[in-house]
Amino acid sequence: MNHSVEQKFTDQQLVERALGGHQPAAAQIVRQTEGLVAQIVFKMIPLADDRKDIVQDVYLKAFRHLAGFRFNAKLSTWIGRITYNTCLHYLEKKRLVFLPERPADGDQEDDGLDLLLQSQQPLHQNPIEQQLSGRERTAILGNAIRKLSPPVYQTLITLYHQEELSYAEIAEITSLPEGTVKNYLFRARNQLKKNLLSIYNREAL
Amino acid sequence: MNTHHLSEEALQQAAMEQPEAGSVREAHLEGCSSCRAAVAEYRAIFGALKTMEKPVFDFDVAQLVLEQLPQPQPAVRRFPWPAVLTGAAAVMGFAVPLLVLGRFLSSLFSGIPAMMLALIGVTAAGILLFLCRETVLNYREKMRLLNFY
Ligand SMILES: [Zn+2]
Repeated sequence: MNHSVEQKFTDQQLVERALGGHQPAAAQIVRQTEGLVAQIVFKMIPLADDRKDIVQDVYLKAFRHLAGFRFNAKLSTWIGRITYNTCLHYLEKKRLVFLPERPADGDQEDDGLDLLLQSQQPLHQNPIEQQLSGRERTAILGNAIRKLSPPVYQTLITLYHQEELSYAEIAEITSLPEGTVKNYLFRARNQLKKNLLSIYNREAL
Repeated sequence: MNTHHLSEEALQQAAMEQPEAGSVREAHLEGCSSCRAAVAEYRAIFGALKTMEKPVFDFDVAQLVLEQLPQPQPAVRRFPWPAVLTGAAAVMGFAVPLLVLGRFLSSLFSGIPAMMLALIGVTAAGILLFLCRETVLNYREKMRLLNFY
């Protein structure tokens, strides 16, 4: 299969071809959406060994129900929703908690404290900016994101700021009301900033 | 001098949006270095998130999935039994009384010219066909919806 000659089809064209048994179209659907699927799966599924089964499950479900796709949403959003639900179902089965009843009302000040140990950054004028421009940026940010609690914050931050999805699209994927998505994201950003600042402050001591 | 700093929400908005010239928010930011610093922090975080390395699977997802998909088959639609049975019932519903009342009806129509009779027949058949088509389309749509979720 030659990826470089892949044409740009609309969602509708891709779905129709895939439904007609056109394998390259099915492959293209996978390739166009696997980035988003990876983001959700990596954020929600802690065990790397289980991710492969989940991804497979997601796409088999998607193709099984492809004829029912209504084009009300983007195909990627629809597959994102299947991914999110599949992950939730997996966590339920494994009795792993993903969504505690409610997020803690006051964000804890010391959320990111143990991150300090992992950070080797020197002091700077603008701590966050400087730290985040370093080589360890991905590791530091990744750790700060993993500290977000409740864990759904991690997925929301990723979908909004990394995947650059809209509030409406995230609401569609997670089945959360749009207002809740906005509210959770506000708290998540606030928490993330505190996590990163606490890394810096501990170092300044 | 401003006594109230921007809310955390306003700081986030300021970091995500283009500055709105003349807004209360911008006016405050112009005069307040601590809020400006807070916006800069958020901006740095959002910028870093955007360019953060994205996770990738260490296996070929497309290949994994395509292997499991059923091989393409000529489009076989399930035979629409319910529609056919309903149709048959409808025909029977017409045919049986027609047979029973045949004699009576033939005398009823004997006064009408053949041309007129044909016209009525064609119109009735047309309407019936249209209704059948609607029923079948409806049925297919419902089956599709049932397959979903
Ligand atoms: Zn201020």
